[in-house]
Amino acid sequence: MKHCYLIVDDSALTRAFIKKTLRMAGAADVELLEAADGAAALQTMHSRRVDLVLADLHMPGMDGAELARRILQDPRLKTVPIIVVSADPNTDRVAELKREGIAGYIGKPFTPEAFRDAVEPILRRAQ
Amino acid sequence: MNNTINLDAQGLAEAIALTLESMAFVSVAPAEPPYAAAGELVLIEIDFSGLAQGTLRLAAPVSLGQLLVANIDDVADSDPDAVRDALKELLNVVSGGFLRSLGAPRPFEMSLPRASTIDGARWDELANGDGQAVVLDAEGSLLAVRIVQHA
Repeated sequence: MKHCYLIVDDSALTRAFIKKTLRMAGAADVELLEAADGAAALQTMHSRRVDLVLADLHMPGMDGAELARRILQDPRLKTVPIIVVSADPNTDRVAELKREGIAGYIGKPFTPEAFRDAVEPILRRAQ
Repeated sequence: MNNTINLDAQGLAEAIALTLESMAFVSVAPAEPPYAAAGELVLIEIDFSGLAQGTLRLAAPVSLGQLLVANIDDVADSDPDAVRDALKELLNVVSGGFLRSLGAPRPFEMSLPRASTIDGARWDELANGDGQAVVLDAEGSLLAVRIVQHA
């Protein structure tokens, strides 16, 4: 069955860049969905299966930290791994989210290698 | 308590170069003053707080945003929203990288980026005003980044 990743970022260009980077990292046969904020991401996750969430932290409306907490607290969604993809200079916030249960972090600017290194082990563990 | 940070112009220039190269495969080179503006100009601002408070400002021509969109999204004719989106994300990533590199004992917080249109006089003030801006040539488009610290 094809994997499905959900990319959550308020910047349409960044979503496009993440998609391009994932393809370069070898995720050729993966369905890539997009959401512009946390609320839209939750709506997608409640309507269909998602194997991995890649979420920005800084977004208007429901930001990435709130989205991560909602997913981690939702019995139906809490097993879906979350990787935060952010330029946030506050490393304490990322550390706190890791303690709460997010699976990983990719700093911006990122490379295809950073995505490969972060995504592959998480999906292997989930299988 | 010292509420200002030292403007590490070299560190800021490196953050810009790394971001442009990683994000959009755009290379940068030092620019020579006086820095002349070209075409329609956009100003992006991000407030920060933490060890010090202030605003990071990026002034750039629309042509730079168009170049970013073309390189990232393979779209030749970008709309104004996409151009602003690209320049906002550029400053967002530059700011995050630069502030993180300062290694402050207390982490910085950043606002969401704001965008506005500026005229040539404002560009001149930002890029040439007091010699404090980092001005680079990104494949033919000049961009000026500066930090304004608040007391």
